[in-house]
Amino acid sequence: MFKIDNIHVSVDNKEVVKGVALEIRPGEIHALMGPNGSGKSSLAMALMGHPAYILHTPYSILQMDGKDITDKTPDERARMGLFLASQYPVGVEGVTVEQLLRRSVQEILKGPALPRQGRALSDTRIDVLKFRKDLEKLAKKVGVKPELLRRSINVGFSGGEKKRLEVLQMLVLKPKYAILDETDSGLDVDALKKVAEMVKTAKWPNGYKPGILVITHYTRLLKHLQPDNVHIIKDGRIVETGGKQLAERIEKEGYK
Amino acid sequence: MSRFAPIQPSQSPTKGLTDDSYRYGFHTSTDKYAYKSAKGLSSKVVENISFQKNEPAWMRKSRLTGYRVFKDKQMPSWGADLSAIDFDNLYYYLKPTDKEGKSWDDVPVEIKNTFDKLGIPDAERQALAGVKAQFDSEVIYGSIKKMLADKGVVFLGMDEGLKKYPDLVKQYFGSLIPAGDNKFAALNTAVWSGGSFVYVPKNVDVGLPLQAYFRINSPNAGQFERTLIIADEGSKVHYVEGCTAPAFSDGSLHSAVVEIFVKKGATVQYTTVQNWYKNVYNMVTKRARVEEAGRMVWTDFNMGSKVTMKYPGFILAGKGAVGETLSMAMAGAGQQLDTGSKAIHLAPYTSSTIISKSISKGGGRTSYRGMVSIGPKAHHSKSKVVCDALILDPQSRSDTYPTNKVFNSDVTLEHEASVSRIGEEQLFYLMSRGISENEAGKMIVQGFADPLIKKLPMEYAVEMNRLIDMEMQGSVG
Repeated sequence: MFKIDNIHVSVDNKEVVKGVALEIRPGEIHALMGPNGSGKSSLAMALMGHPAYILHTPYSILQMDGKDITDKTPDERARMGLFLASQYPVGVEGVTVEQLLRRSVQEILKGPALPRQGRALSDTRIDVLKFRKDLEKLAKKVGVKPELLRRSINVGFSGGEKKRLEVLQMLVLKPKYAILDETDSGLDVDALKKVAEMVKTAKWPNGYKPGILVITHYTRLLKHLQPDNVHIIKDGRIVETGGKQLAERIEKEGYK
Repeated sequence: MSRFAPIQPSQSPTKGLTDDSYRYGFHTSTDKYAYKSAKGLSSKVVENISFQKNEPAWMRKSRLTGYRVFKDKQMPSWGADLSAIDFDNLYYYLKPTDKEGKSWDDVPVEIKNTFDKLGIPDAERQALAGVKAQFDSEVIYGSIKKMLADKGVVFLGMDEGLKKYPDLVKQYFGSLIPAGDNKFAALNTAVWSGGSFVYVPKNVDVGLPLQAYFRINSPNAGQFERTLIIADEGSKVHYVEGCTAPAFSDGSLHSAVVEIFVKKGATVQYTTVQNWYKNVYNMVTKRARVEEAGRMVWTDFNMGSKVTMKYPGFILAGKGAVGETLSMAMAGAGQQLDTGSKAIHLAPYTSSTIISKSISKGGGRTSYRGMVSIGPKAHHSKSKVVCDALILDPQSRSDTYPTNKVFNSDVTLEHEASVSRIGEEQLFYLMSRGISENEAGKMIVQGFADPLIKKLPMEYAVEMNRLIDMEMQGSVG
């Protein structure tokens, strides 16, 4: 279980998340909705360990499968099985998508044993050709053009390409828990449907289904995702939690 | 301390630039110099060098002229602080052995040991085309493959070149970079020793790159090599020099002059991979004259040194001549690398491209200094300058000093400059994919340098990546 309790986050000495609690179990999809500036993305950044988003300690509780991760660096959290699909994916000149992902997989294999891995922990070798083939296959599924895999990551990519690529990265890295921060923005209708389908059916080869937190301020993604848990965040606090009907109501009535 | 790891025990300060991190920082004792000039410079020292080398009278005269100009010329008033160079405290000429080694067996053991430490013999003797290794001021070991001889390609040490081809050397020597060009060119003219002499006959493609390995191996030994390359009409050659210098506490001066003549339709590429020790002043003048439809490419990688001031240039003298400079510089703590290029367009339809990348970290300073001059006769010419700087931390600095002089309205001139800081966002993005902060920093720097490194011959590209890796050890955060 990914346990978030009494989370307080400050940015530039201003408190933007004021005591959020969520419990996400493997296989569950949670949607976090809220208007602009409600603290959604700040929460996502703090969960992944961005140094500018300061978690108030000691009372903020952040645990993955019973392990406290509040002191962990972003790379350590990633190696433990946490993933963040970035709202604004950053370009890195000269580092190709394939290079980055191969490196990531290698690093993550060095991490603690995860339920998703069907191989010995010490075996961190990667068959480059097989990796490329598997990657291209997955890319096709998500609608990422294979030539993008050999280009510098996120450099000159369209908004939609970047978002699809974030989803592709999740599918490659096979996290235990994933946070998708406004992955829907920038996607056209068809892409949205496809991405929702991939997220909804995400299941790793050993049968493990990741726990997913989807952050959005539109309901259109949720129509396809049909999450069981919808949370409304306003001014840094979760004000309402419900089922998919809640998302429908928000669509009609707005956040008010 | 790492910004991404708020809770950590105290760390020792970054050690990236201390002596033990410098892989080539060893010193072989070499008291077996056949001749060692007195410290400091005088007309007597200059005459003595010429005498030791048994040179023709015109060269002795040229040296003395160089010395006079050197004395009169002011130090450059721009660029790095050069006040610490003590010209009176340098040796200007060292002659390790009496003869040039003809085969590997003739090379003295101590010198072999140095080469072994550098990993040269295996790599370079077997795999590479023509090896010219410079040990201090003389070429003591060189092997020229039969293939070169068959093609009529001349690849000699400069001293030997002067002996065997005196007329050719006299015709070209100093005609592109005269002693009066600048103080350091004058100094080189006065005390030059070693370097390469290359002549490629008409329509000959040398094929494999010609390689020279330079190395300074004595405290306060200035290295003043002089290289002259003549590529005759329609010929093609790639010359590669790699430089390393061992660790010494006193300032060392490296002041080379390279003159290249690219005849009609010829192509010359000159590649430098340099990693001087961090007390070396590296003041080099390099210029090429490119005739009709000729092509000159400078690939210039600058690592190490305390100060580097180097602006390889080309004079595009014939219609349709092409010049290209690809340069990369990396400066760490206490280093200032002032590099760039000069493109002089004299003829119509000429084109120049200058691509410069620099990385500064740990308080290091890089500058791009470039000049593009398009003369009145150079109609339909074009020039493109791109300089990108990557700054790794707030203590470091990068500046751009471009100068454009255009005397013809029918030309195209482009200048792009970008400065980026290694961003917290880039680091965070890579780290959120499971990559450690240090590794993420390395990836960003190598990605930045990659497009230029790809232009290097394979073995140098590998070496370059290794050097960057070493320099980046523990330097992000």
